[in-house]
Amino acid sequence: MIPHAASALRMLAQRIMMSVLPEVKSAYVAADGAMVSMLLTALSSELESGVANRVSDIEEMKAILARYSDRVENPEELLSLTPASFRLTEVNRVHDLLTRALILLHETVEVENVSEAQANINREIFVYLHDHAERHKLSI
Amino acid sequence: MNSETLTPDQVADRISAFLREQWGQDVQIQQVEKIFGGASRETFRVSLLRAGEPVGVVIRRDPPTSLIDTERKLEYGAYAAIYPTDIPVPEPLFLEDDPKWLGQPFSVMSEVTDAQTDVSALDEAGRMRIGEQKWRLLGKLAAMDPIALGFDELTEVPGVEACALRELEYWTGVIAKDQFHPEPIAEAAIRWLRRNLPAPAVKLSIVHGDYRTGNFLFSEQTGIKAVLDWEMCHLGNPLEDLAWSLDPLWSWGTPELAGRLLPPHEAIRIWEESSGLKVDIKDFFWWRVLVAVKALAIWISSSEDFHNGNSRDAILAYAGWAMTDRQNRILLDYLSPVSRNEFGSRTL
Repeated sequence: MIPHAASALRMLAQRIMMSVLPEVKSAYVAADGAMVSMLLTALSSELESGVANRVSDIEEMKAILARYSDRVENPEELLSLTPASFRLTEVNRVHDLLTRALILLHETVEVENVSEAQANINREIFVYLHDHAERHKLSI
Repeated sequence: MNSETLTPDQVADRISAFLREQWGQDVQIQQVEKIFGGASRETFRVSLLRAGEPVGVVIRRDPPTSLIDTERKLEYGAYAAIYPTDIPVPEPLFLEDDPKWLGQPFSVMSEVTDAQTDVSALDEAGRMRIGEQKWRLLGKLAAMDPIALGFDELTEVPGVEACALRELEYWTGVIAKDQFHPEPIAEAAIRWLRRNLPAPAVKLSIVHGDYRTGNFLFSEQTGIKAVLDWEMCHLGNPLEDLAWSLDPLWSWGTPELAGRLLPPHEAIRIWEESSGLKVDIKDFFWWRVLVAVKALAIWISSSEDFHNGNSRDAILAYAGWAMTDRQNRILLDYLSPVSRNEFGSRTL
């Protein structure tokens, strides 16, 4: 059987909130317990979709870097980056490398008196950043 | 004695000995309660009998780590300097550096009774009354002479032209030191701030540093009874506090009400009236972006403390995660050419 870790975490969080905390007398422990429960819920969501969200980021960042490869250092190396596995640390490694490259590209297109082409790249990067933030949002 | 967190029972035993020595009177502890949310210091409310008379005190104990790397002497000194003014703060009683008592340095303040921090139950009239007081007090703070109050002995006195860059460099440094992953939104905001530095401060003011709903105690009957949490206090541009107080993060669920109390324009009008200062909208936008970066730095730092094992406090992990997410989205709405104006807006 493949354990359903994300839903298990979600159920544990609910159990803490609904069954354990109402029995707690200390206001401090109750509030701390609620925070632990919320953290478990967030972890459940991250467990479910964290890798997929990062992979989407990676694809979108590579698409931007490919379109403007003439402005990027070592584009071949960057664009060939692919996680060697779906382990989170490996996906994060690739995500970080591409994010750093994106930051450098962003820096070159936001100076004063930018050309229309630069403004368009700036806009594309911001569209990506909005999408990235939306994908990684924490539902509370 | 180790420096890990203490239970209320441990605090009861140790603080009674300390207070007995300080006051030279009999002290009987009646109840010790740990207060949730004191993310920068462990906070305990202590009810006791001093020579038979009921007294309430609040203990703020330094943790091994916290959301904010702060100076207890500065915080205590700020309380002592502000206490005689007409800005209400709890009376500071003792500052103790010797770890023999509670394993860590700590301060003791008088308890502010019959008061709360949660504004969610206020009706519209109550929100307006507390909001009016909140920004009027902040305006008064901005108008004060920090040197006359002795703040030059507590903290650095920057030139009015240096305030903006000093804050920017400090919080940029915190992000650089504590980030786990590259932060493209914070980086974009920091570059924008560097390119658009504002005019010098019109005056050097006491900046509370964390002036927001939740950091003052009030009663519905008598209004604001104490402004709390001065640990990020410094001297600087008064627009910094005003911008922080209006950050959309403190308006969660009620985006039209700054700090869940008043429309932002009304808050600014009251502040201007009370401080005698005028808000330059262009410069003020710079400060709004700056405080969003500052908040982001605090959330990133809190996550780092949790993940590195400096603290096991769930609030550090959860606040770090949720607030980083929200603050990133606020910054995007401020700076992006394709702003969705969902979590913040360039115009107030």
